[in-house]
Amino acid sequence: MKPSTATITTRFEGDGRVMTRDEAEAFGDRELVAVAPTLLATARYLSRSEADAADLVQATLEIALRRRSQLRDPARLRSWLLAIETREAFRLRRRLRALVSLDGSVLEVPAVGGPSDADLEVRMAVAKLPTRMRAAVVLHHMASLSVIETAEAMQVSENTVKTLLRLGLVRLREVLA
Amino acid sequence: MTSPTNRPAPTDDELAARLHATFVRAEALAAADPTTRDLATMALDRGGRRRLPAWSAFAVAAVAVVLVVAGVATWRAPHTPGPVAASGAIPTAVLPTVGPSIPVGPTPYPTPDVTTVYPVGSAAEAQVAASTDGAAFLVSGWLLGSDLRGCTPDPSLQAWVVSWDGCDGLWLHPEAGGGAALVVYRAPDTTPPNVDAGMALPVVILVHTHDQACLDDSCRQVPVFLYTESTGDAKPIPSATSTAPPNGLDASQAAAAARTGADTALPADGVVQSSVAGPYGAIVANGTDVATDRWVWAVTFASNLTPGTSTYQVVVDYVTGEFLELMTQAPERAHAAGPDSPVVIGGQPVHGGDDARLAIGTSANTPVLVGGWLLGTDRRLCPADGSAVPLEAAWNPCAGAWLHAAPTGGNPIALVNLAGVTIPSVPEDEAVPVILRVHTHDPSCIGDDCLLPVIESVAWTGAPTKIDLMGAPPDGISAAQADRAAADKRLVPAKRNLTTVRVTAATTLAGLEATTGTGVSGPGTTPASWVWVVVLTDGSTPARSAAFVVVNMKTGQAMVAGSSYP
Repeated sequence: MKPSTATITTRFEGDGRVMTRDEAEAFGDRELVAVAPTLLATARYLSRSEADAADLVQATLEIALRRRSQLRDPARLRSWLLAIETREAFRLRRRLRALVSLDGSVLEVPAVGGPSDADLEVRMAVAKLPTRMRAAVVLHHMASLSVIETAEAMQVSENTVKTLLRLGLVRLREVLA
Repeated sequence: MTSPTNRPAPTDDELAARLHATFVRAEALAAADPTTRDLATMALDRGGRRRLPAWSAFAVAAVAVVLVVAGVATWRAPHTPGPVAASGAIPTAVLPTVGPSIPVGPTPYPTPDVTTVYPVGSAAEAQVAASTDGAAFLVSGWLLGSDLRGCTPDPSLQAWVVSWDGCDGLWLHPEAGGGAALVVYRAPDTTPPNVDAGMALPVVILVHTHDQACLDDSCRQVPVFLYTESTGDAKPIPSATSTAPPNGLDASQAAAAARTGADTALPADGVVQSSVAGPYGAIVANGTDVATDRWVWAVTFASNLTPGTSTYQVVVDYVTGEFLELMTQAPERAHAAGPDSPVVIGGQPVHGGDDARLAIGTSANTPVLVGGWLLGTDRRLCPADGSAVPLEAAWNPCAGAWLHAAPTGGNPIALVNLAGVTIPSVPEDEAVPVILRVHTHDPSCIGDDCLLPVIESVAWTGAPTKIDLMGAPPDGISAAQADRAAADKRLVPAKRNLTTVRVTAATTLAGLEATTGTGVSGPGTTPASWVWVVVLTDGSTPARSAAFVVVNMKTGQAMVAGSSYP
């Protein structure tokens, strides 16, 4: 069962630190920020590296904060944010390079507490999908957007999404079988 | 226990459930990840002000190169409203003035104004100029199939436009015969209407300014394509049939007007090569900025002062001498793959170097000929270690070729070999000049990376040339020394025990970027600097993880470490 927004909020706040008063005030737009874990999880599938994923989440949140007054239906906050993130991912993808810092290590996943081998297998399989097919699979099958919401997020038709989803499952089945 | 080899294939529902469960766990990991808090805090602190990403410096440099190339290719007069012939105006009957089904909902764009359609010309320009936010509005005009513009972005715009493939934007004309166009930029993930060559298509499109990807004032007022609202019936672009107006300029007057109008864009040594008068559409090849039946003088100047450009065609009004546009033409084509290589094959020009990149980037799906050298050393960076995954193996350039502009290598073009074309085998210490026929936008390409050139055939092969193997500096360190220099960079978690040196290769930084997509720079290095690449893999799971360390061949310094982990 997919965790609710409230659950994620609790988890987000429960990472071992106690929020200060200033931090609490800074988190005035709680609903918006509460979706950040979903955005980061999605970004890790849409991007090629942790750095790109972090850039993508930050850009998405900043765009959303600037344009939050344009959100007409608060109940659709999650899909609205994922739509922004998807479009931003498409735009950033061409200009982002797999740059790594000169003094950096080769770490790309946490040594402890990272995804399990089974989840890594899924992540690797999804990463092999072409960009648009991957976006459709991530948004619909993983982030639970409807086909209509996925089509709106990707700015393509519903039929295109259905085709991408069908081909995506075929390819994933070949890889994961 | 079921082994992987006989495990039954999951059903769609099982697969979807596994994907969703994986994502839920990924969400939970992200929620517990302090990175999430940091990102959210930074976004809130900045209040929507975008931070400068690490790639910006690289992007600015890349854009500068693109603009220089584009600027040399073509320079046009500023877009000014041209005369609109009544007979050529858009038939309003085929263009709806009310958008019937523009969706509203979870979109970052404000609700569009659907009650008005602004025709290209003064109305659309005024609406664009008056826009103060991202509110979308409708504009109408004609898209012409002859608008094979190539890469001619507005040099005054910033990186975001080019990163959107701005030169692939829409040119919306007021008439089926052309006229001053409104340039509408578009994101690569949008789909504009397709127009066949020689045809004109009336369209109504939704655009907006102040796009969220625009970060400064340079691009706030740029109209950006969102989607196509409606299209009318395509019709052939009308041919120019008008008659010469009275009191036209003579050839010498036209030349003087052209020289004055072109001003400093025309080299000082430019001499008149030819002067032709007639309807614009009849005498200017591929010209569509001016109404096709407008009478003009096209004055061609020749110059020796500007390498890369041999002739300048200046177009002025037939009667007033008003400067309309200037176009340059490249000089006689150079040999792309050495002095013995042909410059034309079967009537098709052969492109090389930056010219080849431009030809590939603007070729749509039309095959082009590109020439250069295949280097035997290129195979070193393409180990069969699982990076060429089964499903996408054919799209991996490691299975194709890298086409260099010179036998000494550098800045190669990656080519994929979907059809299994037999490519000349090159010994490691040789370079072979070749001319290949390639196309982009292959039908089998599903993603949006379809600009990768696909090899159709080998059109010509020259004699191989012996090369100084890798051209390493005499005082460069050995591979073993590079391996030791890389040792302190093996900072990998125990779970990903990447301790096996799988491949050690030597290449240039430019070659590294072309091969791995990783741009590396450092003090005292250039794209031509030679480096050792030490590749580390986990022998037990070669397809899962690989890491590399780049070591400056001259100084022995480990420059960068990266990972190909997905």
